[in-house]
Amino acid sequence: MKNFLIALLPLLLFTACTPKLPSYPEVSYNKEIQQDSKTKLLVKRFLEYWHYRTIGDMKKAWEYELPYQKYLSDFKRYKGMVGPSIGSKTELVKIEYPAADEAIITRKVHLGKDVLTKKDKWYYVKDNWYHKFYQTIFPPENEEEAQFQ
Amino acid sequence: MKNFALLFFVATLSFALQVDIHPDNKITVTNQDKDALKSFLAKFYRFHIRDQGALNLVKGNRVLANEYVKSHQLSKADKTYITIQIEQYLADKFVQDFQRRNTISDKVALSYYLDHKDDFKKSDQVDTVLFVFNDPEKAVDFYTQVKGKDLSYAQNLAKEYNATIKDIGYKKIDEVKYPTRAFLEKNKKSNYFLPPIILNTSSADVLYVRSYKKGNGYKPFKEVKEDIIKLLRKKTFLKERDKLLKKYGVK
Repeated sequence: MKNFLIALLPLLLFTACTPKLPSYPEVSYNKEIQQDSKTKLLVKRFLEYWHYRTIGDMKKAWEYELPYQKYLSDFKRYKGMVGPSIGSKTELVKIEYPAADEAIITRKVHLGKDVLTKKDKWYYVKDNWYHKFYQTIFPPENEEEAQFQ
Repeated sequence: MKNFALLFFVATLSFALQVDIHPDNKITVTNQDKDALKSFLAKFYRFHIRDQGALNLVKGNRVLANEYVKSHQLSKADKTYITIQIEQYLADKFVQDFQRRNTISDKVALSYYLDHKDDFKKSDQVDTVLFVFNDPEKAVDFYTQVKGKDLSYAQNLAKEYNATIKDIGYKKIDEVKYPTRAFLEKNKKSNYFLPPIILNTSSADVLYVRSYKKGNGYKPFKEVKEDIIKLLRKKTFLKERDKLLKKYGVK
């Protein structure tokens, strides 16, 4: 019995360390994405982040933004330049890693009958993934903004 | 009255400082005065003075200043000058206080680094040999002869021209001065001579580029962390300053 428990320990530890993915009606993800623990954490953060944006809880969404962006901005300004996505549905399609600590997520945004393809930039900072925000109020100023807005 | 003069600076409703100075009959010097003078001399003149010397200096200055104020009215220009100095001191205090209040965590700095990695690319490196001439005309003549030839040919020829040869070795491109740097960055190649750079009427250099290596990868976070912290502090400080200028109606 003791040996059995010791053999089971790595599996138990892995299960304990791997985050459980939340389920939201307005945010979904491609189940075929290979999920190592770092990717699973990213998917979890993505689902939570877009859930808060979609229900308009910008205070919660603010917590997921890049630390330096939060340092340079403030919540009031953020709320004024990044609008909520109320009424839309977001679907995570694909994840690419241009660098070990950087992820580009392709997502589909369903707005009524319209489907838009957008991208998200996330960085792994110390122990977690953080989203890079772009202003969404004005038309994009450059190509990057157009892709990630 | 403790000090020789009473110095008032009052923030009025319009937020300007007003200075007023009166003489005093009794001259006293405290340890605080002495320490203030010591730190003033160290900060602005990098001059370190002993305690007794500082006490004597403060006392002497105070007597002279008091005597001057007794026999002369301070002019408007004097008062303005003193006000400006006090304001400068208080503005510095504001900056120090702002920096103390605005601590920047590793997480903040690291996230900036990750999102601006292209700004932290490793520098190109250049390995050069310098031929120094005391006559620009000779440098031009030398260059026309060595152009397209190799380094050892130039080293032999340099003896005939009495040129000094300096083997510089590898240097980061951002340590090379303009205009040389601009030429090197434009060419990005090895084993060639740069046309003479005339420094003045009595000297000129001809540079041989032994090797030009393009920088690969990024500088590590540890190496640039302090620069990032300075940059973020500057950005927030300028924002705060603009906010205050707006508040006080100053453009």
